[in-house]
Amino acid sequence: MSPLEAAGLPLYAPHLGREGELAPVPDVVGPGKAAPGVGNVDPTGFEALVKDAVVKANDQVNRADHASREFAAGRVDDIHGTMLELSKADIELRFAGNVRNKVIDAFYELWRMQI
Amino acid sequence: MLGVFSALEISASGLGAERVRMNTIASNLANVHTTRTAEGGPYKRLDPVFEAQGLAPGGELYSGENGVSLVNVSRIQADARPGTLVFEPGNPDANAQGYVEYPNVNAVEEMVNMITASRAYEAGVTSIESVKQMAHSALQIGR
Repeated sequence: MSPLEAAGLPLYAPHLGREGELAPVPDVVGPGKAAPGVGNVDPTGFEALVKDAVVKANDQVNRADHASREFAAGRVDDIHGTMLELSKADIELRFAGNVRNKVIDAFYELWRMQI
Repeated sequence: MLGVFSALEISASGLGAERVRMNTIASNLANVHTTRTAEGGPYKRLDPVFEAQGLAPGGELYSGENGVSLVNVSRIQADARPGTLVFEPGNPDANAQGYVEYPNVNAVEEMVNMITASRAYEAGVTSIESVKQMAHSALQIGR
């Protein structure tokens, strides 16, 4: 008996198919959201997930960079707006880093698998 | 859709509004003795009017009178209270009776408003800090 059954929990998560078959990944990424010039990436795939996180983080970092430049150049005097963009970029970048770590962990898990 | 960044946007709009308020207070204090303006008469005390602006028009949960809102400065309004009359016959802006009308600005009142404006700004910054803290805590889940 598996520990899950012993605990009275269903063996399969409801969002997964029966027989341990993985249900299709929810459309987190969506078509057309991958980085331009990335090539033919399966829009719901493993690779696209990382790329989307990286692209989003990169966009936000670029926005933060732009805001800091504008502020430093004196074209805007919106201190809190600039700091907010920087904070958002910080959070997005950390998020992208976490997604990357998770994905790499999953990859190594597969890599170490005995066949 | 409301997310972590929506809370940041809302707090940021509050910070912007308090900054506008701080600007009007600075203007009021700077012009506390201004007896001459382009419109004629003494300087009139200014007050910003804040207006709630729905964050996500059309969103089910977040619109209407119970919806979360940004702060918008709808206008800056002049205070209609009369100014104080001071007897200064030598002043070039004195009227026929020798009285000069000084602005309706009360420095003490402005100082109190300044304290509330800076406290409200601090409160906005604190809520931004908390939202950031929440986001960082959420990222800890993945560790």
